[in-house]
Amino acid sequence: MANVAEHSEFLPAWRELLQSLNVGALLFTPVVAREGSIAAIALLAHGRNYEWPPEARPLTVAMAADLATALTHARLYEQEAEMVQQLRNLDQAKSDFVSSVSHELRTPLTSIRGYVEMLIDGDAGELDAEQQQMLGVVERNADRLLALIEDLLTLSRIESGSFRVAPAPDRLGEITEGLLAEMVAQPSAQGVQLVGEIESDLPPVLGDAGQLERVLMNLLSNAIKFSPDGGRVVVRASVDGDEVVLEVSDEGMGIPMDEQEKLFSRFFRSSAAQERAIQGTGLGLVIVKSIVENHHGRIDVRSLPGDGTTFTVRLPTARIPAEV
Amino acid sequence: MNAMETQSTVLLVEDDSDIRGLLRRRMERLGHRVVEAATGEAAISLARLHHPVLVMLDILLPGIDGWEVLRRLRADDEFADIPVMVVSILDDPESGEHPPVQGYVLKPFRTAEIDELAGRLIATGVVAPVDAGRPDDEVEHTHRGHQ
Repeated sequence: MANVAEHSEFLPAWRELLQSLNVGALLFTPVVAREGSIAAIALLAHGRNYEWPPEARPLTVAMAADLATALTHARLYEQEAEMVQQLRNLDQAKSDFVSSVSHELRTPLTSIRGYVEMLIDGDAGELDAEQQQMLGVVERNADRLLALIEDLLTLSRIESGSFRVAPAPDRLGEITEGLLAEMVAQPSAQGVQLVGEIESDLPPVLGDAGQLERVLMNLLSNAIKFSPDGGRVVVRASVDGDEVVLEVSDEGMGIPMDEQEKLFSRFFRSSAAQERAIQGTGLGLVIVKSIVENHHGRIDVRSLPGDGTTFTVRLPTARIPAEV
Repeated sequence: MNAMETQSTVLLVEDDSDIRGLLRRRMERLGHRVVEAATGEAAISLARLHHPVLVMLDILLPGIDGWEVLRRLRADDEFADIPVMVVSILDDPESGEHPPVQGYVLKPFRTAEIDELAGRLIATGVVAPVDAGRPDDEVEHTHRGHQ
């Protein structure tokens, strides 16, 4: 459209504006996205008798197409970011919920455990054997509930990120040796033998000593729980390339193949644990895996039914600037 | 310990009446007299009235919380040196700023933990040096809780 300022199709006000800007020619191109026209490109040319060159039209069409793509992407990106934020909020809400429910459960449990303990101690009079036994059941189950609450709290803390502390280089070898010494000092009821095979001079790993100790503690107590009477539990710590490898092996009944992949999901209890009524919350290995992954590590399980189980944790060694 | 003659008073600050009953029984078993407060405000008045040798302090309370009770007690010369042991479901005693306490027991507790710590604090009766509490007027009171 040339000499637009004189064009009778425009309102007088528009004509005036175009005239004052000395616009001679206009070229409108719609920007069309999948959902239809979302914008337009308007090219304004100066000079009363300006004529658009022939390539002007295809050029603006191409420009409009690029702009449509760019705007669509920007919009998708915005939507995605919004969705991620929503999911994050949801996750936070879930963690907060678990955390406050767990806290609230501690109050009634305090009374249940406290009063049962006093009854068992004979504070309200002597108990006969059957009463003792029944209250023992109450106490054991209160303890079970408490273990579950503590595990849920730990998990929600790990997931909300509040469990993370400033990582410092830790000597996994020393942590392992310390924990082993502690556990050997308190032998298990089944007479399980604990053996440590820890390489000397292991490089440090970057992480939180308390959390890494929890990983080892969980794996060790699992190994002991699933060991036959008088069985051996071996803890190995070694270095493999730029990773420190921690292995916990038992001589227990092993884990069927189809259960191995479910081991790290919440509340999963292996068939063996259920059959033999081995206590557990079904959250221990979930916690272990979360901690290991928070430390940029991996955990695997290797097991053959009837031939024991080995859990392997691999953690990257800390890169510490050489001392000057 | 001769319960009848050396009865010293323990101030129990706890809003859950069942837990209060539990802790009262533990302390009475050790031969102490117990005064109970279900709110922080009541705790302050009872402390002035009964001069306890130990304060067992819950943190999550209706109205002013346990940390505020602690600050107010410490700001008062008379209570600057009384041992205070916190008994709470809060598992992060480090969170927030508050004067130090002489013991921290997480709920649910073992009764033996309570007996041992309370017994020790009453026997020694000496507290570690404490930071002066913040003046009361710096602290906001948003609402008064119910009992």
